[in-house]
Amino acid sequence: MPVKKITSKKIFKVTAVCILATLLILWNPNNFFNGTRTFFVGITLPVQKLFSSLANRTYSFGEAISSIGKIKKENKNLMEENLRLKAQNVKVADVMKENEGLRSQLNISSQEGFNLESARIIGRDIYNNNSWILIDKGKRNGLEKGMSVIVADGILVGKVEEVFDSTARVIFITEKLMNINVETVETGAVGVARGNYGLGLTMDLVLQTDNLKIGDRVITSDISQDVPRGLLVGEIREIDLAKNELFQKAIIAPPVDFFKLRFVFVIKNYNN
Amino acid sequence: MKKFLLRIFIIFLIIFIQINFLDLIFLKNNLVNLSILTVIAWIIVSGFDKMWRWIVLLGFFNDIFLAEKIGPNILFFVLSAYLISFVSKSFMIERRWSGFLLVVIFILVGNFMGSIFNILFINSNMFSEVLLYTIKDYFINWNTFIVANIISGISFFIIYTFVNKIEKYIARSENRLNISF
Repeated sequence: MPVKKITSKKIFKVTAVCILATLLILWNPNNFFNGTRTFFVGITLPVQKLFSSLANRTYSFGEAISSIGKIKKENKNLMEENLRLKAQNVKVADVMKENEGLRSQLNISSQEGFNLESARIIGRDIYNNNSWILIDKGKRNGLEKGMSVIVADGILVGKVEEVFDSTARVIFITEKLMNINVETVETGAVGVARGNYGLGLTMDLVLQTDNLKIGDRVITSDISQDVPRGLLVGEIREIDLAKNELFQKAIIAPPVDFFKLRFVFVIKNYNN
Repeated sequence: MKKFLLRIFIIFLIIFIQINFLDLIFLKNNLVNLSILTVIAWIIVSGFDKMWRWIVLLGFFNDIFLAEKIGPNILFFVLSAYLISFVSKSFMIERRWSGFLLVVIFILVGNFMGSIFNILFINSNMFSEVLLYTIKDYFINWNTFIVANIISGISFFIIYTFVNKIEKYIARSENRLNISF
């Protein structure tokens, strides 16, 4: 059979492409394709921003439509809340002073010590795991691999995994590869927060002698060199008290819904 | 050149709508995989021999923009394209009802296999756990399953119409060129 006839066969093409693709997967030449990736992500960034902006508007519009019935009730509640807030406003100065004191006692960071870069989420993992997001800031904005990513009030949501010229990929703390040194605010129990395949977080390696309680707040400890101390990771929801095990385990409930994030802050540098 | 630009346009459009639009709207569930729907549409409209290079390119750009390993989507799309082409020929997709039924099956299987295929390469360390989670998501959460496939069906109709128009336009342009020569 002539060579040309064999190569023009459908099965030959499929086999050749499959072998090549398998070799690429096994070889995993991420660095080899980084230039290509950076180039295409860079030149298409305006279009990606346009689509993400359209998506945000569509999502907001959809939410507005679905909540029309609630608006009247919410309006009434807001008016009541407004009156209550006016009364509370008088006490704010005192509360702020008390808050500063509590922060220093509990070692929870405020955002004031951070050099933050705000970023908009322009892309998301297309598969169910929701393990990463694409943000619209990159090398040009001073972002580097390993930087912590937070939302308002110092809540840790992830870390920068890959940086391109004008975008970056952020892996959520709930992803399986994430290990963060943490401690509880109330009892000072130390452990490691591990991602649970995009489904949640587990606090592991807690000594049996340490005390864990449901509702304890879990914050980052100062053992991690690349994550600032005092970022809120979540609250303990469930404790696994297996006495025959060397360590205790607990399930952490993150304080934010990662699916609903629209904006995040990247901590470029900080003073612990 | 026009042919090249039009097909590249389709590839980029599909990818950007997927990662920068749909996945920001349907936050909790991956309800539709536009790329696999495009592969199905391309095979039905133009056939495997004409489109396989473009399917490889679609897979490559999916891998580039999804920032994962290079290769999984190429492998998945080419294998899917070959199977769709094989089944279409064997079961006479031209016949109205059998063709419609086949397309529905392609969409259902394509969506499901897309998730399974990605588990193999993204969560390969914990394959069994994530596989169980995905299967549960597909077959136990019936609401999601039904909504996902209805949205996929509507998306396929739009993509098919769009791809069909563009391929017809390309064919007309090529015929015109042949005649002028």
